[in-house]
Amino acid sequence: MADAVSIEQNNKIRAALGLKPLPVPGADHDDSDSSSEDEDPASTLESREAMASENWKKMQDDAEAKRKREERNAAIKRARDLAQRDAKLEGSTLGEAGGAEDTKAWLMQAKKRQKKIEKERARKLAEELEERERAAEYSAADLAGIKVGHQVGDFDGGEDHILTLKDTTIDENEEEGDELENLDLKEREAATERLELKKRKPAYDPTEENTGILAQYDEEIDGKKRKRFTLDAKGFTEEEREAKRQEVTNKLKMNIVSLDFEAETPASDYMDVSEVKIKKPKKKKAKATKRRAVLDDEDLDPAAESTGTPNANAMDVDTNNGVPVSAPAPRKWAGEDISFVDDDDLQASLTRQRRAAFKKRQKVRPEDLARQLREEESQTPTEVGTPDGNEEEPGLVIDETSEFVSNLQKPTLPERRERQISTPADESRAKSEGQDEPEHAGDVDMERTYNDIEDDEDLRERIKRDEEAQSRQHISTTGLEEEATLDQGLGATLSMLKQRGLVKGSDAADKNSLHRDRHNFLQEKTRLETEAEKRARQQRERDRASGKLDRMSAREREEHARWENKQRDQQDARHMAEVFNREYKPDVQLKYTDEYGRAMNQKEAFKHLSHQFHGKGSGKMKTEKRLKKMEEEKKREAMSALDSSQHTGMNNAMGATARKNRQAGVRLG
Amino acid sequence: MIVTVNDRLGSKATVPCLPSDTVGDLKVLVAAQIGRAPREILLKRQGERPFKDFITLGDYSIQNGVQLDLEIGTGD
Repeated sequence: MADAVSIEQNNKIRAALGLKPLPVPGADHDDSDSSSEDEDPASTLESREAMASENWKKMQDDAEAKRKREERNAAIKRARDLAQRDAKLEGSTLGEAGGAEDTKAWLMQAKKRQKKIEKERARKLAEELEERERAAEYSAADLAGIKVGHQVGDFDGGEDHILTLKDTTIDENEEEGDELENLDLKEREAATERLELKKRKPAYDPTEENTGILAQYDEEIDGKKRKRFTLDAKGFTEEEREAKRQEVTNKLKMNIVSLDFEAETPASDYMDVSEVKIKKPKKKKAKATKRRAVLDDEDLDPAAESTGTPNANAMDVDTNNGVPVSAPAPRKWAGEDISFVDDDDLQASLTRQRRAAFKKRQKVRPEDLARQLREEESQTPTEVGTPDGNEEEPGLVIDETSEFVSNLQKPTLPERRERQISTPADESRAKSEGQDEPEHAGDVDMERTYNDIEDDEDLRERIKRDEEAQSRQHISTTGLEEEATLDQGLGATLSMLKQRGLVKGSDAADKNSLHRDRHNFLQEKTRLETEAEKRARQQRERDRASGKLDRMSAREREEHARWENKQRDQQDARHMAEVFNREYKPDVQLKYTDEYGRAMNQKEAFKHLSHQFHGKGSGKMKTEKRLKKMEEEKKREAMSALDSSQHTGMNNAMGATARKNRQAGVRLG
Repeated sequence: MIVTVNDRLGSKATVPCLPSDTVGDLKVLVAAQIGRAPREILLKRQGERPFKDFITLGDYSIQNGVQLDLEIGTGD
């Protein structure tokens, strides 16, 4: 513990440092009086009292000041209120005014005032009425853009429907806008929907049109499809207008050329009375006379006439017999002529129809269309229809019926064409014969006796046969081409084999050129040989003529000849070698055939040679397999091209791939 | 109040002082007692950081009878 001394010492140090001196315990009592006043004011009783009285006084002063301040404030406030109250009462009061003016003036003033008041009231009333009217004038224009939650078709024309605003949440309303709906209709829709759900329909109905397999999920994915339409200012729906616009564009586009002429209305056999234009050419007259001649023929030969169509082939056969037949000529000629004239009429009527159709199908000009639409609109504004049925016809209709009909008509076409084709030649012949017909006319009966009468039976049979052949040829039951047969000559056979892939179309051009080269080479060779021989003979002749040989002995002559021959041979050989080198192009083909005469391919040939070389063939199983394979191949080649049960002929490649992929299948058509 | 300063090596001093004194003043007082320059004195509570010179003892909550450690300071 530090004693007082140390504290005093410390205080000295502290004083030196400039610090506060430490309180010394002993010194406290000594200078308490002196220091009490300034250090501790509340230490003595008097001082405390004095302080208390001071405090009291201070408090009293504060309270007084406060009271005064409040008083002042209240006075100010009162004055302000009074001023405000007086401000309302400004101006002359009733009593003051009345007192100021006399009665008459006041009355005048009152009338005026009344008028003014009335005017004001009237004005207000009018304004109000106007306002009300404006509010009441609620027309279709106010409904523009409002959606209706039903289909247009739901509203029956007969009855009125009351539409109310749909009950929605605020969010939905923000999103979709106002929507009108009829409660009855809504209930009915809900009921039908419930019934539909009760029906337990299968998820996928293949008979329904325009629906995919997954159509049942459309509702879940896209949300329920709402039927609705939007009203516009005129009370129409926007969908209607859209439909109308679509229709107009369709009409503008609709200049489609239909490919079939009046397919649905076959041409009437009888001409319309209005269309008949009788032209009387002199040809008519000639025809009449000829016709009579034919009638004569008919009298003589009813049987031949009854067979029906005069056939060109039959006539050809007649002339081919080598006998100049004039008798059948007039008959044929007449028949041809009739048919020809018939065709003429037909052609004429056809062209007329075509022209009419074309006229009807003339371009639809846009302005016409617009005018038509306008008329239509003025008649029935909402109805969408076309007065002209023809314009609405689709361009080309391919349906089952038309296909069927066209298939039915098909066989008749080639026959007619053939007849037409056959006519020109016959006609020329007929003409040439027709020129000298007048001379022959008298002899007709006589000349036709032999050939025709004896041929009559044959002719009829032949005609029948030809017709049958023709029909057989042209009408195929399946609609497919008949399979080619081998009884029609080498070309047909070759084409059939090619079609079935049994004979490969070779590179004929190359082969041909090769062959020609070879031929040329051989020819050249023979020519050179003969030339050389000729030259040798000439030289020998010359030698003999020059007498060169005469001077030689026999032996010398022989020697000379041999030498010459040798020389010539050498020259020729050299020449030939040269030509050979230049021109000879060998065509090397290694062909192997097995014991049955089949051509073997490389592999088979190698095996065959190997077997031959080693002196033993393959075993029993392998041989059997090979034989079986060959048999199958033969069978396949013999099979019909149209037989689709096996993979042959024209469906070779497909069959091969199908077999490779192990797929079963039948190729149709 | 009286503060004891001990370096546990033999020098120990008790210094009377006021809480309003700074640590620097205390160091001068201690230096007067133990005979070492005040800038070579470092005061600290045991296990705490050394006191800074310009902070008063009251702020370090040094009260009567507290013992402080005395170490040799580097002067900075």
